[in-house]
Amino acid sequence: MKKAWAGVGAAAVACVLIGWLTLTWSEAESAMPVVKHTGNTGTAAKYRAVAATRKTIHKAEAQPSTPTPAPQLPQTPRLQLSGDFVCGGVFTLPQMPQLQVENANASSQYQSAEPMNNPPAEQEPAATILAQLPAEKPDAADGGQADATPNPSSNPASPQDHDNNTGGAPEDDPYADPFAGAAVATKSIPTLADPAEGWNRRVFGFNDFVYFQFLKPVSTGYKSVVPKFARRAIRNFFANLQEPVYFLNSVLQNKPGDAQIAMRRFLVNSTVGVGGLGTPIKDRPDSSKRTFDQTFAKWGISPGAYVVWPFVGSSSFLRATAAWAGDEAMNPFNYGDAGTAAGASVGKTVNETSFQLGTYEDFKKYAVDPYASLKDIYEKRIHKKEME
Amino acid sequence: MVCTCLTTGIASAAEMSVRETVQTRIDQAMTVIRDPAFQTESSLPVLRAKLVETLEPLFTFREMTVRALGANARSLKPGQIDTLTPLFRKLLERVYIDRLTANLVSSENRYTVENIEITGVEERGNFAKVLSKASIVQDGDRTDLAMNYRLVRRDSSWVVYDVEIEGVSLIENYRAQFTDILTSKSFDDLVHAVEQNIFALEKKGPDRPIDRDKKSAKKTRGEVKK
Repeated sequence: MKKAWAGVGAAAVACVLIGWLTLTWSEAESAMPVVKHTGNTGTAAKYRAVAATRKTIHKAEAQPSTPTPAPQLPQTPRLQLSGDFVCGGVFTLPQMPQLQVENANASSQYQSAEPMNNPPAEQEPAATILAQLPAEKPDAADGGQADATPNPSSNPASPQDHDNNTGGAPEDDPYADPFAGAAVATKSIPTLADPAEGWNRRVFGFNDFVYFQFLKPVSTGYKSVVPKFARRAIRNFFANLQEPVYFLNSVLQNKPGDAQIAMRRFLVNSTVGVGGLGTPIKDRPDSSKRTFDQTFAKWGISPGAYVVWPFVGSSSFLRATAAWAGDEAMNPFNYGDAGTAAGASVGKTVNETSFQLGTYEDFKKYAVDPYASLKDIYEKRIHKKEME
Repeated sequence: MVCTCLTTGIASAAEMSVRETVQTRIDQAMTVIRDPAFQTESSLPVLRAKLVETLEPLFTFREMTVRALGANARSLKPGQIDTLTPLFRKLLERVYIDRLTANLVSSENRYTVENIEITGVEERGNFAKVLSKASIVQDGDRTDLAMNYRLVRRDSSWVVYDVEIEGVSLIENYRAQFTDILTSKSFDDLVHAVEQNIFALEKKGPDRPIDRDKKSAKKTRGEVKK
């Protein structure tokens, strides 16, 4: 236990020493010009294939005869995350991505460039309007918009069009969604490779089983006997131990402002807040929580394949797994004896789950395929973090 | 009731802005939710029906279904999409309305929606996104739940084609699920999976691990065949 506290103390001292440097660094950077991506406005030659679908989808809806100007979609949507969606440490469900449209280049390694070129298999001509989309140009008489809308079908699809997630979908495309997050509506879904899906699904089931058989009952009992203020204090304590992680990664990502936030929170909450049990400094932007996985992404390391680890949950191999190891290396409890480390880990998980009871259940009950649903949320989460 | 109908009629005027379109329906929904007659669990079915009636014109369910199918829609017959649309509609209604009535729904994650406030609108040509936050109270703590609506202009009216709850796009998330199912299974399997999901929601018992859900589903299928 002494070693654990020594670890916390060491982290605090390190923060103090580096802190004043950060202040200077922060001021220097704030004076630097900020260069923003303008996003990719070129869209969607891929959308040409589906433009005529409107005939089918909105058959009964007469389109206005007046041509409608093309949508102004100069920038690419960007994902932002907010709010923890954690179902205990055993099943660390990814943070729910908070979608906000911002300017960013959304091209990412896990946005599959899947053009809509799967031919229909067995449809009759009259019944396959949806499947006849590829070569068909939007009909002005039908949609009333083809003349006024830049028609992507006039330009052959290029690999860039498929690789770039743009918000510039033409409005006569029934799949167009300028507010789409990591996904472009016309393709299946941006996915991490999942070569071990069978294994992952089994582990997902195992974690699900552990949650219902062990974690949930224990957390429910814990919640009934430990008052809320105490559970909140414990939560604050563990959250405070994450601040050195956020600080280090802010430094590694050259984000002095976020490093300042982490350092200030750690110092004030550790002292005035009595070891982090209280939070004199409460609010912080989620984007300031900089993680190892994010750092690796900034360094150009791709996430790798999707993997679900027992007791840990969604991850990627190798990047997020290595990031998790980094988090654990900065956990002061891991420098004590094994019992202390395990106790702290279980305690943190149970305490956190006591605030989230019902969340995982709600997530699951509305999902047709909970595994795929969670994977999608995870993909959006890491994409969002990469963009921050 | 007459007033509501009149309001609805007036509200459907083509020139309604996207903010007004959403605001009108949300106000009507909140009026229903706050109705003292619907404050008990036993009144939940009626409350749901009222909310469906109120909010239905705001959504374009067939388009939501096609969007959720994504690229897969191209290889399906229109009749198949017609089959899936009412089922998916039912599922979406439950997802959305259960959030609004979370104080009555059987869940450990209960909270009361006190108010929904529109905080912003982003318009992009014939598309728009209405940002809103639901003020909720859970275990005595007040917090906000982000509910954003993506709309598209159809026939001079704005209709919702996607809803983001806490930043998660329902349609994008279901697209991931549908794609996963259709990659390895048939369309009929997808329809069956959605049916099972709705069945489980309607006959909601205690939350259980996945393996037990599967056993329950098999048992249910057996009963249906008989």
